[in-house]
Amino acid sequence: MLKINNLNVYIGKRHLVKDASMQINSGELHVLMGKNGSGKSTFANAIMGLPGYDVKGSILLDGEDITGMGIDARARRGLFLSFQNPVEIDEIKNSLFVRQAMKACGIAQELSEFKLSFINNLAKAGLDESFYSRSVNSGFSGGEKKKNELAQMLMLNPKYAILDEIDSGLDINSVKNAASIITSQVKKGMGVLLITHNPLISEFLNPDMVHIFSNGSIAKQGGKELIALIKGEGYDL
Amino acid sequence: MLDKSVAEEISERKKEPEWMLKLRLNALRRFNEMKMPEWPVPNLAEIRFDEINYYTPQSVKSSSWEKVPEYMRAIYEKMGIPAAERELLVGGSIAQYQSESIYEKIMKDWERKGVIFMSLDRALSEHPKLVRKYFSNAVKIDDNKFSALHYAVWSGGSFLYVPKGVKVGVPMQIYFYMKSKNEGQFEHTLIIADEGSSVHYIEGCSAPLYDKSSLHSAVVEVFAHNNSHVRYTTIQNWSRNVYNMNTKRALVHDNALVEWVGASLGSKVSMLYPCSVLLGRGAKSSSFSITLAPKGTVKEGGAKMIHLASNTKSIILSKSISLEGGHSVYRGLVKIGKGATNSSCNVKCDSVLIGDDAKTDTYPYSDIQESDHVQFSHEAKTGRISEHVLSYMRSRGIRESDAITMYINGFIKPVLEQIPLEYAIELNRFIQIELEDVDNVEN
Repeated sequence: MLKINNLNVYIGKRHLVKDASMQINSGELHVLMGKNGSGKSTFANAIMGLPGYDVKGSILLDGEDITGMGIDARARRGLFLSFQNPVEIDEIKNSLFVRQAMKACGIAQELSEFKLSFINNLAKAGLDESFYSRSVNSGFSGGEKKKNELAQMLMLNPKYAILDEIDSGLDINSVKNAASIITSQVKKGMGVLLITHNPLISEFLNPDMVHIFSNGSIAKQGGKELIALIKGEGYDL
Repeated sequence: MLDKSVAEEISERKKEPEWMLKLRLNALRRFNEMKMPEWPVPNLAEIRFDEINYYTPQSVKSSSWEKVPEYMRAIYEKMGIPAAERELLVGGSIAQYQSESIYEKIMKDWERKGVIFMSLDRALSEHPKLVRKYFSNAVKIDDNKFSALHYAVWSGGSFLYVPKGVKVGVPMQIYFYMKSKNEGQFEHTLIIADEGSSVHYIEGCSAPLYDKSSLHSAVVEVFAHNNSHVRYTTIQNWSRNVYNMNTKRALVHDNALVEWVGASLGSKVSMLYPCSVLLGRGAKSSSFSITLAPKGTVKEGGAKMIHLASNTKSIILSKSISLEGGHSVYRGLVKIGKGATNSSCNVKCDSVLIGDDAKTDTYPYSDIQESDHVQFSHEAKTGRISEHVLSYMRSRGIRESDAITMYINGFIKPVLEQIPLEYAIELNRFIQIELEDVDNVEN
C-alpha cells in the first residue's frame, strides 16, 4: 500500500498542499483531478521526493517510511513518477538510460532480451523502433514524451506509479491506448495514481477512487460518479 | 642549476653531431631571454627551473621485454603496452622511462616496408640526414619559452618515418613515464608521413605523485606530405604535480589529413594546443579533445588551425569537464590567411561544470584575412548538469553518482569514438576514478 498521511508541502512560505491523505492499494487505480494550479503536480513531485519542496507528513510504501529518502531510493523501492514535463537529455541514449535504470532497480536483463522488450514496450506505448536509439526525450513532441514515460513504466514495472497528466498532448486514440495500458497494469497489480484535469481519459478507465483537489486540499473523495459530476458542473462543486 | 653544462653534458653523452649541440646552446640562450607566457594561467612562477633534473639517462635498452627489469616492466604491463604487442594490436612500441627509452620494437612486417620507428636519440645517429632535414622545422626553437627550454635539453621521444604509399594499418604506440620528483621530461617526436602514406600514432603518459612538482615539456612535429594521413592520439594522465606544457605542430601538405585526438586527464597545470598549418591545397585537419579539470588543477586545452592554402578544411571539437574546484580553459586560434579561398573551419567547444566551485573559460581567437568562399563558425556551450536532469534520472532509480557518470560518458562520446576501443576503455576508467573521487568528497 502507498499511504500518504497528512501531507503538507511548502515552497518557501507558500503552502501548496494542505493535509492531503490518500491510500492506494496494489491493483487499485486512483484518479486525482483538479483545476490547473490546484497543487496536483506539487503533490506528485513531493511524493517522489523531487527537490525544492519542504514536506511535512509521511509517506509509507508497503509499510516503510520513505518520507526522508532520496528520489532514487524511492524509485528503487518501486515508486515511479511519469513527469508532466519530462526533461530532454541530449547526452544519453534512451535505451542506455532505461537499461541503467533497470540495473539500478535490480531487474537488469541480457542485452538481447532487453532490446526486444524495450522495442516491444515502445510499440505498445505508440512509439516506433527509432525511439530505442534516440537521445532521452530529445526533440520528442509533447505526446511522444508522454508515450516514452509509459514505455519506461512498462519496463520498470513499479509497484506504484504516479502519472502526472499522462494524457496531455495526446490525441484521442493515444489517450485510449494510454488508458488501456494503465488498466492492464492495474489488473496485474500495480497501484496507480492518475493525475489529470481533463475528464476524457477517465471515460476509458474504471477508477477505484476519485479525489478532487482544490486549493491544495482534497475537497472531495468518491467513486467514478464524481467524474460525471465534474463533466457536468466543472470543478466548482 | 640550468646552464650551458646541462646541454653540453646531454649532447656529449649522446655523442651528438656538432649542429645539435649548437642548436641546444642557441635554444638555451633564447630560453633565458624569453618571458613567461602571459596567459592567465596561475602558478607558472612557481616552477623552479634551477631545481629540475633535466636529464636522467637509462642504461637499459632492449627490444625484448624479458630483458627489461621487472619493476620497469610492471609499469608498462599495467598500461597494456606489452599486451597490445602480443595481441598484434600495434605495429611497434617504444617505452620511455624518464629521459630515455628502455624498450623499442617495430614489427618485422613494417620494418620490411621501410617504416622507421625508434627513439629520436637513436635516429639521430642511424638516420642523421633525415633527422636534420626535419628537426625543428615545424616548431621553431623560440616558438615559446617552453619550446626553447625543450630544445636546449631534449632527450628521448620518437622518430617515425612512413615511406611513400605505405599504409600502416595498426597504431604505433609510445608510452612515457616520469619517475622521480623535480624531474623534467623533454621528449621530442618527429613524425614524417611521406606522400600517400598513412599512420596512427598513439602516446600515453603518466607519473606517480610526489610533493615536489615535475615538468613535462615535449615538442611534437608532424610532417604530412601530399595525400598522406596522420592521426595522433595522446592520452595524458600525469599525476597532479606535473606541469605539462607541450608544443605540437603539423605541417599539412596538398590533400593531406592530420587528426589530433587528445585526452588530458591529470597534471596540475596543462597547456595543450595542437596546431596544424594547412600549407597545401586541399589540406585538412581536425582536433578532438577531452579535458578533465579536477580539484586544484588548471587545464588549458584547445587547438590552432592555420589555413594558408585554398580548399583547406578544419574542425575543432573540444569537450571539457570541470569538477569541484577545477578550472578548464579552451584557448584556440583560427587563422585563414590571404589566398586560402574556399576554406572552412568549424569550432565547437562544450564544457560542463560539476560542483559549485568548478570553473571554465573560453578564449577563441580568430584572424580571418580571406573572404572569398570562406566559412568560419564558432559554437560554445557551457552548462551544468541541471537539477532537473539529475532528478529525472534519479526518479528511475539511478544513483546520483551513476547519473553523473552516465551523463559525462555521453558528453565525451563524440571524442571517445575517435579513440581505439582498448584505449577508450582505459580512458573511461580514468575518468570514472576522478568522478568517484568527487563523489567520495561529497559524501
